Amino acid sequence: MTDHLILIVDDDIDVRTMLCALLSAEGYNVLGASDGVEALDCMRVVDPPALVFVDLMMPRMDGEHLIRAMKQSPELARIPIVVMSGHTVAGGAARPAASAFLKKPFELDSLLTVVHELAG
Amino acid sequence: MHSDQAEQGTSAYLRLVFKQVPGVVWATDRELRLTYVLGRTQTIDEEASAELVGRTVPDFVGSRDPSEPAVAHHLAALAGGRQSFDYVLHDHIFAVLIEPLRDEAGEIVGTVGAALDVTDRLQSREQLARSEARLAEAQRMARIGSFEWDIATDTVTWSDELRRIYGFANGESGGTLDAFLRKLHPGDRARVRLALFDASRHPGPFGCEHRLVRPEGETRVLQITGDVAVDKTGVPVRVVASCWDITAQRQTTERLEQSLSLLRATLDSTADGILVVDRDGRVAAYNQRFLTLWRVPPTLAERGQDREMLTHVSDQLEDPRAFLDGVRELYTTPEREALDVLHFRDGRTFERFSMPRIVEGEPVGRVWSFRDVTRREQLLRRTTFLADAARLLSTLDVNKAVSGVAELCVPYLGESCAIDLIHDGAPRRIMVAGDPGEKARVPELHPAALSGHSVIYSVGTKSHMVVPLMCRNAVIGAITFVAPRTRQYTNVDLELSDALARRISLSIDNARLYQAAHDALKVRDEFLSIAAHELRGPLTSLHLAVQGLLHGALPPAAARTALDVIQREDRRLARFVDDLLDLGRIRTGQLHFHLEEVDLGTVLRDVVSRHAAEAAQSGSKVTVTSEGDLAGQWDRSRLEQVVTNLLSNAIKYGEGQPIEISATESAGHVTLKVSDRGIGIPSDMLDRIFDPYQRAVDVRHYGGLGLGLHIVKVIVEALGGRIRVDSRPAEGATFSVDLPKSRSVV
Repeated sequence: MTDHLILIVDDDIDVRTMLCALLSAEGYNVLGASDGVEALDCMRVVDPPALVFVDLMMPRMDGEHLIRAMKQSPELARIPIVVMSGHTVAGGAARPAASAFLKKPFELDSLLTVVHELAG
Repeated sequence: MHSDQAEQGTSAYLRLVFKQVPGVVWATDRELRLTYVLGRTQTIDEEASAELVGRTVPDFVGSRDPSEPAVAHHLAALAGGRQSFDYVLHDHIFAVLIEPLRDEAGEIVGTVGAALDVTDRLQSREQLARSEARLAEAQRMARIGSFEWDIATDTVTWSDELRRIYGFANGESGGTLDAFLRKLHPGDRARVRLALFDASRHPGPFGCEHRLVRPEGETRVLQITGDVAVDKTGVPVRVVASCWDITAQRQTTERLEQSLSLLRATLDSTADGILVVDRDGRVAAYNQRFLTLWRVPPTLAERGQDREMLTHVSDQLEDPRAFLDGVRELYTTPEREALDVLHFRDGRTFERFSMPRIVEGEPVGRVWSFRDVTRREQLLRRTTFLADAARLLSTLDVNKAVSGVAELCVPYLGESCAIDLIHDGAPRRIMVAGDPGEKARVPELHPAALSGHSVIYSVGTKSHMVVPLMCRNAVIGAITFVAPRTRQYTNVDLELSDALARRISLSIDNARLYQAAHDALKVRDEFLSIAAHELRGPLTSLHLAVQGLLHGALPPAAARTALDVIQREDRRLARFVDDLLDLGRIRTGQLHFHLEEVDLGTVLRDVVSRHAAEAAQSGSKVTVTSEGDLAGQWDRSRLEQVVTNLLSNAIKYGEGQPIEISATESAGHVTLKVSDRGIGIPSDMLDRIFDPYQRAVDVRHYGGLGLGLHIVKVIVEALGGRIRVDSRPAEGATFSVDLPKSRSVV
């Protein structure tokens, strides 16, 4: 596990952009993926990240499927996951597997608290 | 001697005469001394009369009074007068003739007399008078008058009673026939005259009636009966007639006829069939309605045997045995009343009421009355049927409702019943009720139903009926009935089926409206949920960008990125709001256009350039080709909206593959094509993709309000153009927009 690498999976380019900018400024290495397929591809070629932010609603492979795939993978199963969603009730199946939940739109403070707690 | 012999000869001859007829001849001298007596009477025999010779007439009558009739007449005869008179002696009446007796010189020397006992003849005359009086009395008591018309003398004579009956004046006696006829009612004179003349020409009994106005003004009716008397040669000589007053009988008869006519009219005008029988089952009376109701031939009714009629009628009933048993029981209990209902094989229903005829406390027969309550029963059954149907239809489950009603229709409306509903423009049979064998025989839907008409028709020998199910002037289906062989559908059945069809249609419409409302609510809720989600993406980016800037959490290079994000999200939100507003305008028909000269090529370049970053991010390369003059009369911002939405979709679903945009001109039209090579559209979605809120993909994978293509289609059509899509799953999609270069916007 590489310290300080954070993967952001969201199909909204602006959300990815802002999270990248803010977390980079905090000293993390940040990678972005626009859907579950891209995220898995990414984690196959780089070292497992310290933390993964997952949006639930995405094309090709949504957040729920991505989380399930990660939990079934021995290398990825232990990586903490932060679920980001507009729906408080959505991702019901994925939620127990998540280490934290951020309800969109969330505050900068909430983001940083979660990141510091889970990624150090 | 010669003279003695002659005298003796005469005496012998007279004796013979007087043996036959009681009578006496005598002669006297001037002193009235009897000189000759011959003959006999009741009290004087022949010998005694001979002994009277020598005695005087006063001696004989026992009176010397010259005014004593016998004496007086003798004296008058002596004076020369011929005397003829009746004389009573010893209770006998004699017709007496006395003449003077003259000698050869003509001197009166005495008298000769002859007396004949006419007692018997006078008694006959009295008897005649008495019997005439008795006849008059009898006529008076019987109020029978009589008259005679002597044809030869044209004289009419009448009896006292006739005078009283006719009101003739006392002492008024007969006259000519015309005078008599003038006393009759003017309207009847000719008739009576004819009857009398007829009788006089053709002797024989005759009769006629005539009216008479009595002097006090009262009109009476009289009956004349008579006969004609003829002489020895057969020539009519007299018409003899009796007449009596029949006014009272006539009035009684009229009253009787009136009450009979009233009874008959009452019987015949009642809506019920009436049959009256006596205790032995003989028909006493019936009305026409009875014959009609029971279809009894008049000849059968005339024969008058109830039992004969019972056989005839019982064959028409559903249960003849129960009917006959019931009748038999009522005949054995003559005092009972009964009310029951009779069901006919042909579907009619009668109510039968029976009550005894009572005369002086004893039942003498029975009155049956029958009322046809078929229509009432039908209405009752129809109401019950429709109420049951309404109950079954009070559900939002169309299939359940329709199945229940179809089952209810069998066997009440037919031996089988099928319901078709229109799906995608064609009828589809969704329910058939009836015996398994019959179900298969329900024919395909009659085409009349599809044009909204109810019809009765035949297939083979069976009667069929079809009624359309109509909703707001549109045919949504139909219901078909097949009758059992014994039944022919009528307009009554058609009316009921129409009523049923209206209820079914209403129920289906109701269920569909409910479903539509339900679906609309679901779509709205989904839309709200998606809209909320769509807002959260931009809001999250905005939040983070703004807070990053405010808290100085971003290095200078990242600060620039944050500002770019803020600008992009601002535009996204603005477009989002525009889409929502457009949807509202489309719904209310208030989407407005400002036509101006617009060049499509310019619009394409602007929009593509505005989306360059987005396209680059997705990995799709966008190429634009154009050909010809692409300028037209359009609304610039709306045209930009069309291109933007199509390009956004291509980027969103293009999977990073190349996107090609082309615009070509031909014959006053321009054609715009936007093609991607992305995920494509499933074939079942192609029709709906332009409807609001529709998306070909799972909302979990792709966001968006699902309004883009709907708005595009509305704009394109408002500009007089058309849009279509060609696509297959995983092979991308090509949207083609064909726009006239100028058109007055609808």
